[in-house]
Amino acid sequence: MDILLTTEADRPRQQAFVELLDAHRGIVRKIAMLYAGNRDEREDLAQEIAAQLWRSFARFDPVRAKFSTWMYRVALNVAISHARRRAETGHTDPLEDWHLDSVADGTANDEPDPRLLELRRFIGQLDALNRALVLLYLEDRSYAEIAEVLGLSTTNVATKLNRIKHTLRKQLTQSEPTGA
Amino acid sequence: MELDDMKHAWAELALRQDGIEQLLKADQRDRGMDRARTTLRWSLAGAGIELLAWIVGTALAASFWVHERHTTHWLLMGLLLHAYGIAGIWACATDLLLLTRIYLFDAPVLVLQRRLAQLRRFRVVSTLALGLPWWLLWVLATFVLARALTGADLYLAAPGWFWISLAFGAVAVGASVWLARRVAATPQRAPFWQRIIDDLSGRNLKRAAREMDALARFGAD
Repeated sequence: MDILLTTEADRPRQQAFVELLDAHRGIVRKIAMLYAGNRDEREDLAQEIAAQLWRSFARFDPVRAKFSTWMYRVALNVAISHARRRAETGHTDPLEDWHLDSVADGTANDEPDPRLLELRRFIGQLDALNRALVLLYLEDRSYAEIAEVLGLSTTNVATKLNRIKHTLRKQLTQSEPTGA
Repeated sequence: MELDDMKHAWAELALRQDGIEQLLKADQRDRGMDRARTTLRWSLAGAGIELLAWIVGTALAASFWVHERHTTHWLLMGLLLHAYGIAGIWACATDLLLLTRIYLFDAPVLVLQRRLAQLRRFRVVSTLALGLPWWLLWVLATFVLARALTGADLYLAAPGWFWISLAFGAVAVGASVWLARRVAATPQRAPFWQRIIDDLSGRNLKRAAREMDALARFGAD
């Protein structure tokens, strides 16, 4: 049953939106994973992102931006606002159960991948804006696209990423046992 | 491990996380879209009604003081309520304007988050500026309403009561801020009260200021 209150004129637009959302579903999924705490919250956040994408879709102009760039902007804006509301209610570690959920899905090994644990620990330390920056980097987006999504200059993106890499390297050096 | 090595771990994790595939199930997605439309309608209707109420209230205050302009105390009370109404219209229109700048959430992240922080700060300030004076304004509004509806001059009948009420209101303004600061550290069960206490105690204002600073730092580095 189609419960959308769409007019006939809306249908082609709705169809186009659904196809684009399906093609880029990974973006919503990964952003929800980075900014929400558990599976229920991830689903809520993903729904919120999808609803906001639909609301904004009327103004999406493919000439001005790639769909993925536009989608990252909307989705990250929703997720960062969600993270702020979350922080205001005293929740501080949105990444607490990455591994547990993977196990519950039956998709993870018994032993957690140390790289995943390191990645989770590292991302968990970042604030919402730097988390967005690292997410886009991990997604292999170009510096120009990262700058376009975040509203920074390309130079600023490069500087920030270098600083983050340096911090990470320093942390890892300090955590390694001496003489090993 | 370097950040570049983490890209591989990230790609693997992303592939393994399929917990929110429900997102793409048609009925849930459609419900979300439908909710988005309904929320939009209610937000716009609510903001429109609020603005209309401020305009009507201001027009009534204006017509009152024009009609009573030959009596000093009514002229002053009417002018004060008129000024308050103009402030309300300005606050409501500014809120609407700020809302339209963020509504679609499609601006670059830093730009949109800055606009959101501005909106939150504006709401805290305007709620305080328009809410706290009600400790005093209710006296004026009651007197003006009685005059407009019945023609009675309560001020001439009980000037002492008028000034005592105003003095009580002035004390209550300070007392409510003091009390809010005292209880601010205790979490409230009802979000409504929590918001009022956070507004009154200045916590929301400080939070908004911190947020603006963090955004400025992120943009300036």
